This record gives sequence, structure tokens and C-alpha cells, in this order.
Amino acid sequence: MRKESQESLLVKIKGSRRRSELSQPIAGYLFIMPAVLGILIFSVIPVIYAFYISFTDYNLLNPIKNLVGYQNYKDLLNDPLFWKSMKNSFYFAGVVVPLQSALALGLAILVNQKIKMRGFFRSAFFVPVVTSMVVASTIWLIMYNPSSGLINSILMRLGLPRQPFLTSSVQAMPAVIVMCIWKSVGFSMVIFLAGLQGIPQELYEAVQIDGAGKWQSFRYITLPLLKRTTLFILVITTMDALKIFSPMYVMTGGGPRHATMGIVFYIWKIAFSYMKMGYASALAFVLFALILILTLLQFRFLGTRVEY
Amino acid sequence: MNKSKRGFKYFTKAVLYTFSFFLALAFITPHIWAYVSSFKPHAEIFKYAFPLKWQTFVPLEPTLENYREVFTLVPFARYMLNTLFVASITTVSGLFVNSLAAYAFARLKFPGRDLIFFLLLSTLIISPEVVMVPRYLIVNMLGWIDTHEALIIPGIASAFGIFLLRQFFKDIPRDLDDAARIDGCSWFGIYLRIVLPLSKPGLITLGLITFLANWSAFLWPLIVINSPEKMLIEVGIASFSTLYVTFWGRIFAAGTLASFPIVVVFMILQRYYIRGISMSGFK
Amino acid sequence: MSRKIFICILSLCLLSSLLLMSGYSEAGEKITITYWRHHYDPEVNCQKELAKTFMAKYPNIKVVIETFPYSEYETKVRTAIAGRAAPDIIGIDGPMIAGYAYTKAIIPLEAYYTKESVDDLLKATKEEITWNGHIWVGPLNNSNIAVFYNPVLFEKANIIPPKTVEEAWTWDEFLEAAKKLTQDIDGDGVTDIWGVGGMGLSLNLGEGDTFAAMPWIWQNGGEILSPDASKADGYLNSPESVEALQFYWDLFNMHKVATVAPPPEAFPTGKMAMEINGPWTIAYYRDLYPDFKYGIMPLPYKKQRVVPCGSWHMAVTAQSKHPKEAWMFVDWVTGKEGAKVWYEATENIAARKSTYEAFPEFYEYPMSIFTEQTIKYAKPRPVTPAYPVVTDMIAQMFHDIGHGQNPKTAADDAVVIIDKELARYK
Repeated sequence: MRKESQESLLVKIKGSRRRSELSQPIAGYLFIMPAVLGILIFSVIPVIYAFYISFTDYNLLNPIKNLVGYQNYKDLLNDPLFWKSMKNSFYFAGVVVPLQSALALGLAILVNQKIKMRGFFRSAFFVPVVTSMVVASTIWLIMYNPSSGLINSILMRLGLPRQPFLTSSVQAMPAVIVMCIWKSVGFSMVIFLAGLQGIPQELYEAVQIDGAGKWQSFRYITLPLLKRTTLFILVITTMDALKIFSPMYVMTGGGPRHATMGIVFYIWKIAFSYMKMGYASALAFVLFALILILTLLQFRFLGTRVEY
Repeated sequence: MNKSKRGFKYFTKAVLYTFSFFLALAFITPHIWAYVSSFKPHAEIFKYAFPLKWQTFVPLEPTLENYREVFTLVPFARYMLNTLFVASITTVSGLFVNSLAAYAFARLKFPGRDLIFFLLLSTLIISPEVVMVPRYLIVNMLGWIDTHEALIIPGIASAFGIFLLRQFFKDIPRDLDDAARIDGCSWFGIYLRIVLPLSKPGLITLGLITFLANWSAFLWPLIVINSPEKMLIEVGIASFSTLYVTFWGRIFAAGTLASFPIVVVFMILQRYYIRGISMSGFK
Repeated sequence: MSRKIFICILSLCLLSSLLLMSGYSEAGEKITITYWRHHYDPEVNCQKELAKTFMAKYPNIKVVIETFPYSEYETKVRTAIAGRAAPDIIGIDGPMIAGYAYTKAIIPLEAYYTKESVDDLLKATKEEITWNGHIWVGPLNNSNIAVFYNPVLFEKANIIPPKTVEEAWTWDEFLEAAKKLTQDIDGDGVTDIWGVGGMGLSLNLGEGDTFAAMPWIWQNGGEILSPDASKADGYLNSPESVEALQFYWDLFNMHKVATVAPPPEAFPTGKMAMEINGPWTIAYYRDLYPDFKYGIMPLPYKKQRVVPCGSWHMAVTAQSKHPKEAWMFVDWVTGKEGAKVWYEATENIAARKSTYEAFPEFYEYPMSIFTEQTIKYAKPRPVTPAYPVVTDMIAQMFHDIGHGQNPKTAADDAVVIIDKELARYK
């Protein structure tokens, strides 16, 4: 305690004699300004405008917008497709977020080991991330073909029955989930990998001398020190999962029987296909509110400080 | 280490290798099929798609026709150049702007810091489809429709990037900061000389992700760019899927062309994933 | 005398200032017309050629054609219109005309048409491009579908296809053939060759699917909407419609001659015996499956012969600053002469009587099938500003039925949503 106050005293003395420099708050504001400006103009203002639109009957082609008060919000409560697509998105996110994050962590640890060809492995797991969504969705669509797609061919060789996959309202969503995890796990893996790099090797060596095994060093060193990275991955993956759109659009068109219609797909359809932008904005803001709450919860439970 | 333990170690290593290998194979098989199919004439691609045979993965009449068509039917080389330009500038500028802001959020104290951070974060939540029209209106007002500015400038400041880097920066021990302060370092100096060098993995990761996001961007470039001279890659690939028919050979060829450079870049970047702080490292 | 000179000079000044204001002195300045459309090489290349000849004739007008991927074309156009940056001319799908016209996003064009030009249009085309008493586009072509069949598989099953529209099969004959043609060759429980598929049977959720699926309802005497397009209840779910939908359901779920997920490119790879498709496919198979031999036969029918029609056309946007020049280009491409050039490049069914008269091949097999179907039995899709919702609900309905949903329930569900939307335009 005493040592710290001595040091801070030194800093203060030195500070007053230093060549003039910015005070902390001014430096803070200055450093964040370019970013905040960009986000303000291109994100915050559009979001506010979209919020205003959600109270109108804006139909995209007609510049005249009439205020309709809460009508859009009332409508969505009675809209069965809204509830169905919300349910679908939460189902999707509920499976993908834990599964993909855990898998990504596992893969990151795997490719962090000093094994030969780990560069190859890292690239192999990352390749799906880089593949164009159109190409990837197409390939999986073909692989999932119920008559004799690649996956069913393999199942038949193994003596297992063929599966309907994307043509069954029960299997369609899990099939889409598998494809999405395949596509995105490399992304999370790479971030976890960067996080793992930040853990000093010395810590592992120290506990190994004390006789700790692999599992214990994982549990008591890796996991806690990855908390910040993990929070990031969970928050981002949750946001992305709840906003999932492209794969469903290309592979199933939301079917069969709306089994894979996610909420953002529904929003897009209402906005650009049905041209009911006002209603679509209202849908988007309900989704926004839900994700915001989720994010806050995640920060509350996982955003603690980490001591060395 | 006694013999049985060593044997066990080798065994687990072998299992690890085999497992990783098959997993990696499963991961890249679809990509390989697309790659191989890009060398097949259109009629052959789906003839052997199933049931699964060895011909599925080998072109019986290999041809470069698809690639030739990709480059002659649309200005694909131009698309690649445009995308490279836009992605590079956005990535580099973004790294600077976002890391500066992330540093401030992670290290400096100023009133409203956490509130502003959270507000920025919340902009990540809204689905882009709904803000596309107002964003387009703003870009139109600025006179940037059909220019690369419309792709670069809105893409520089990124709440995602700030969030990512803030988490990484927070993991760097404060002692280094305090030591530097005592030595007379300015806030900017700490950012430049301590935080940045120690966050290489984080920065490289963000750079890679930003570059990738810009490289594979589709909807926004489609919306704001009109002339073919300025168009980007993903839009080019989508052009091969027309109202009446889909030209699979061309899509696979274009898709391979689009993803190959990134995979190469990624493999090169591997060596930069060096270990970070070592306790004995600081003066 | 000096007074006369003064008056002369004054009037000269007035005249020249009038000329200045009328823009004639802008003869040195070029007017640029931008035309947006979805990307498809044969059509785009032809239009670029037409643009060249147009610009040669009118050197002060520059035509710029910009194309975008079909999948997101509508999003692009609608965002640009909403964002006040629309081009002068847009490619627009026939049934969408009412919606764009209703919101005044495009301008009426009948004032520019000559009577001769209007009379030259096919009846079905005229119906398609007219709404609320105005004509809204220059028509590029018409569209049609027929049944493409695999002659080798037909021969093996001893089936003889009809060669003219008069000989067209009934639904029952069609079903019989499909049943004979659907086979599991290697006995592994997996169908190797499907009897029928293609447009309207692929259960996708796009406009092409609605286009090709609606005729099933019409052929049984059913309707989609009431004649004044104000409601669907009693029409889409009428007994005739539901009967037709039941037949459709049977194809997938009872007789299993069609499947919800055929292998891609099943027909040209020999895995499907009959495929419903349009004349644009002829060029596609010629270029990409040159060794594949196929035949074309007319659509089957039940109580009446009906085929769908309508296609993409060119409209002038309200935001265009040069509507007259824009119309000039539209007319250049879609007028009598342009239509002939258009047909030669795209081989699509024509919208103008003069085009049919100019090319004898329209009356030769196989085009004769498309021609006769279009001229005698074409029925346009419902014209209503609510079309985006209508078409989506119908595609969804057919999709659900193919996947096993009860036809009456599916029709009733669609009716509820369609009627709610139609009510907004009363």
C-alpha cells in the first residue's frame, strides 16, 4: 500500500514537470472519437431512423410514410410466423452457441499443441470460413440429398437407413445447424487461438512442476485466463446465431413448412419481398431488445475481472 | 518417464493425429469437391455427384473452360482487384482506428466510458437488413453511391473490432503501463510501445477477420455499387446464378478463385501467432 | 425603320433565349440513361448490342446497362428507389407491375405508344402490362412452359408422346406415363429415375415456381383470386382448386412420381424422364449438355387447356430525369423491330404478333408447341399490388402440399393471409 502511494506520488510530481500532455479524460475522448464518429454516422443514426420507421407504414417504394402508432407492434404479437421464426432462431442459437464455442475451444487447444502439420490442421478448420456462402450452401444441399447425397451414401454403406435431412421439418434445422457450425467454428477457433497465445508458457510449466495433470492445468489456468476471450466469443456467437440468415435462404428457403425460417430471414422477407418496411422495423426492434437483454446478462455473469 | 508411460504418450499422440486428420478431412472435403468440380465440364459435374464414386472427385475430362468463362464473361479480374483494394484499406485503417478506441476503453478513465462502450456494442445487435435503407440514404447524401468510399468508410469503425481488442488489451498486465508512466510515457506512447506490440495475435486476428469480412461482403456492395468496374467478388460469383439456370462450373471456379488467396494468406500468417507476454520479458 | 430593326433584334433575342431554355442548345451535352436488369448473358448481350445501334442513331443519348445477380435484384432495385437513387429504366417482372404502379414508382407509358404498337401486342401481354387503365412497360417477351421428355426412357417404356397441342395428354394419361417411367433400377429401395419434375414441381419458393404451379389450378377450372382481384376465399380454396391440389399432392405422396428433392440437373443427367421447363432451356441444353437428346411435348390438361404466360419487361421510373429519352430506348428494344432482334438472341416466346409473323420457326416443331399454347391458351397471373404476398403464399402452399400437408388446409391457410393483404388495397 505504502509503496503504491509513493509511486503515485512520484508520478504526480513527474507529471507536473513533464512536457505538456493530455489529461486522461481528454485523451480518452480523443482516442475514441474517430471510431465513435464512424459508428455514430453509419450505425447509430440509421438505427434511430429505423426505430422511427417502425411506427409508420412505410412500404419502401412510396416515399410517403404515415404514422400508425403502435399498430406494427400489435400486429407482430398476433403474427404466428413471427413467433415461429423467433422460436426457430432461439432453437438455432441455443444449440449453436454452446456447441460451436466448445468445439472451437477444443480445436484451438488441439492445434495449439506442438504437433507436426498443425499449420495444415489450422488451415483445414479455417477453410470453411473462407468459402463463399453460396458455394458452401450449395455443396451441403447436394450432400444432404435424401435420395443419394454424399452423407446418405456413406450411411447406406455403413448399413444405416437413409435420412430425409433438409426435406423433413424435424431434421431440417439440425441439418442447417451442422452446416453452420462447420462453416463458423474455424472463426471462433482462430480467436480462441489468439487468446491462448496470451497465456504465458511459464504458468503451465510452473504447475507441471507441482505435479498437475493436463486436465487440471486446463481447468485452473486455461479456462480462467480465457474468460475475456470466452465472453467475447459467447456474446458475438449469440448475436450472430440469432441473426442467422444466409444459409437458410440458400439451402431451404425457410422450409420445409417454415421449419428453418429464422427471424432475420422473416424480417428480410417482410422488408424487401413484401415491402412492408414499417412492420419489418418493428420486428427488428423486438429482436434487438431481446438480444440486448441477453448480452447484458452475459456481461453480468461472465464479465468479471481476472487476477493473476 | 517409464516405458509404459512413454508408450501411452505415443499412443495418445497417434490417436490425436488420426482423429485430427479425419476431422480436418471432413472439414475440407466439400471444399475439395467444389475445387475439383471447377475443372469439370458442366455436364459432368452432376453426372457423378451421386451415388458416391471415385469419379466424384476426379475430372474425367479436365478443362479450364469454367475459369476461362469466369474471366471473360464478367470482369472477374477487376472484381478481385477492387475487392483487394477495398478490403486492404478498410482493414489497415480499421486496425488503427479501432485499436486506439479499444485502448481507451480498456485502459483510460473518462466519464461515460462504459456507457459509450455499451452503446457502441449495441449497434452490433441490430440486423443490417433493416438499417440498410437509412444507411443508403446517408451514403447517397454524401454523394458516395457507386464509389468505393461507400464500402470503405462505413466499414472502418467497427464495434466488433473495438470489443475484440478491448478484451485482449484488458488481459495485458497493468504493471507494464504503470512502469511506463513512471518513465514518462504519454498515453499515446503506452498504446504505441506497450499495448500494440503485445497484442500481435489479437491484432492479426482482427486484421484477418476484417479482411475476410470485406473480401466476402455481398449485400452492401451489391446495394451501393452500380457499375461493373467497381463491383466486388461475391457479387460477381452470384451473377452466375441466373433467373433461368445456374452455371455451377463457373460458380465453383469463381468460388475457388475467391477463397484461394485467403487460405494462402492465412497459412502465411501462422508464424505470427507467437507466444505473447513472458514474465521475464519486461524491463 | 430603326423601330423595325429594334423589333427584329428583340425577337431574335427572345427566340434564341427560348431555344436556350428548350435545351436544344444542349445538343453538345449528352444525356445518360441508366438501365438496370438482372444478369443473364444472352439477354444482356443482346441489349448491349441494341444499345450500340441506338446510340449510333441518337448520338446525344448515352445508354448504360448495369446488371445484378438475379437472387438479390429486387432488393437492389427497391433499396435504390427507397434511397432516391433509382436508375431511369428498370427490368420488372410482369406481375410486380401493379405494386410499383400503385406506389407511383414507375410512370405510365401509354401516351408514348402508337395505336399500331398497342394492337400488335398479344392479348395476354396486353392484359399483363395494363393496370388501372394504363400501360406501364415495354414488353420484352412472353414466357411459356411445356414438358421436356427423354425419348430413350420413353421408348424403353413403350410410351408415345403427343406431338401437337391438340394431342396433349390428359392428367390421367400423364400420370400413367409418369408411373411407368418412375423406376428403381437396382432394387435398393431408392428411386433412380423419377417420372416427372421441373418447374412448378421443384417446391422452391420463387416466382418461377408460382408461375409454373398456378396452371394446375387453372386447368381444373379453379381460379386464384376473384375476377376483381379483391379476395381469394372461395377461389383459391374452391372445390375445383382443392381437387387440383389433391392431384398435385398425389404426385408426390401417393404415386411418388415426383420428389421434393431431386438430384440437381436430374433431367439432363438421365435421372428424370419428364421435366417441365421453358424455351430458354433449349439454348442451355445446347450449350452445356450438347450430347443430350430430348423431345418437347405440350402441357397436360384436365377440364381446360391453360398455360401460364408473362415475363420480365422494361419500365421507366418516376425518379428518371429523362423519361422521354428513357422511353425511346425502351421502345427501341421492345418495339416491333427490336422484338425481332430480341427473339433471335434469346429464343424466348414473343409478345408481339409481328414477331410471330417474322419467324416461320415459331410454327415449326418444337417452337410450335410453345407458340400455339401461348396464342390460344395463355392466362396471365393475377394483377394486384399485393402480388408479392400472393405469390409467396401460393409458392408456400404448393411447397407444403408437396411435403405432405393436407391440400384443403394449405389452401385455407394461404387464403387467410392473402385476403388480409388484399384488404389493404380496397
